[in-house]
Amino acid sequence: MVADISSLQRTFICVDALDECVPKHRVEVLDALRKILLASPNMRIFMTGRTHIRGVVERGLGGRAIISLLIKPRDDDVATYLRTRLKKDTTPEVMDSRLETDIMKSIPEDISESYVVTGVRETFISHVLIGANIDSYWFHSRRTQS
Amino acid sequence: MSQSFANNDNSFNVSIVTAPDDEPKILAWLSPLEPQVRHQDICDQRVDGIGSWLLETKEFRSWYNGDENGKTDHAALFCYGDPGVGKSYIWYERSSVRNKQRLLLTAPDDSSVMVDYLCDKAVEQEMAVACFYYDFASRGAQSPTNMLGSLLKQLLGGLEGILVEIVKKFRS
Repeated sequence: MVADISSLQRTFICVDALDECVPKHRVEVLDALRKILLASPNMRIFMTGRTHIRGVVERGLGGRAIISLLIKPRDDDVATYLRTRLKKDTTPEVMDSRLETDIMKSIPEDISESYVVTGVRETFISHVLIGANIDSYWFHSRRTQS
Repeated sequence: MSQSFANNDNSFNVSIVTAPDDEPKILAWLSPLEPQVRHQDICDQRVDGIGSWLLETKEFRSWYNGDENGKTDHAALFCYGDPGVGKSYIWYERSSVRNKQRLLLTAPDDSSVMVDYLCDKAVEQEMAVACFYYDFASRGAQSPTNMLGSLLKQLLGGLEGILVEIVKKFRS
């Protein structure tokens, strides 16, 4: 029926976090999506998931039908996020240009070093990108030092 | 009142019944899942502008536009990466205009690169968009039946009616 509906108009299906699907369900869902694609030239499917399921997803969708793209945090995205968070700082009275410059320089470097040495980058980036409270993690320690 | 559609590109014939009395029950029967909740969570957390580079990649263009002949082998795009790199957030970008006739899953002003891009296009063109978010915490409820039912429910939201075939199955 999903394929039937896509006969009426160009249709996009977006599925997030396929790695969080029960494995046996994932196989069923991928097979259903593959059949929908076969039956429906108007259909486009967009999916996200962790790296370890890439093979399963590509096989499940039928190899040539799928194109894969690696997602990595970009330096400019991290900088954009930090600037946004700084604008929302709940204690702006203790902020100065030197501290702001230090934050904009140190956090991206810290992310990179953490990744190389300990693999913590994923964890930290997840906090950065999902909007965890930087104040408690970073700002507070810097202010205490100064 | 019913209406039939046929597409010249394929052999589908779809009959739709407009606003049956039991439409809310039929939609709930298709799937109890409400992906809008997760959608709203991500929208609330995302910073506008992050991830828009995705739309400039050759992979996205190949997937979205197809090849020069209008036919593509890449009808599916899979974005993969390590935990926390922002895969879920590349969905969202800001949009002020929504075509609610064609998108049941509506979003506020701050939402995702991919979904927002598609929604903007949905306004300009004849397009439908449906989304689903897998979540460890909801594994028990996210069966293949409920997942596919959720997609179907969202796509029906753009049709101003329900497929006759679904109504018959619900009532039988």
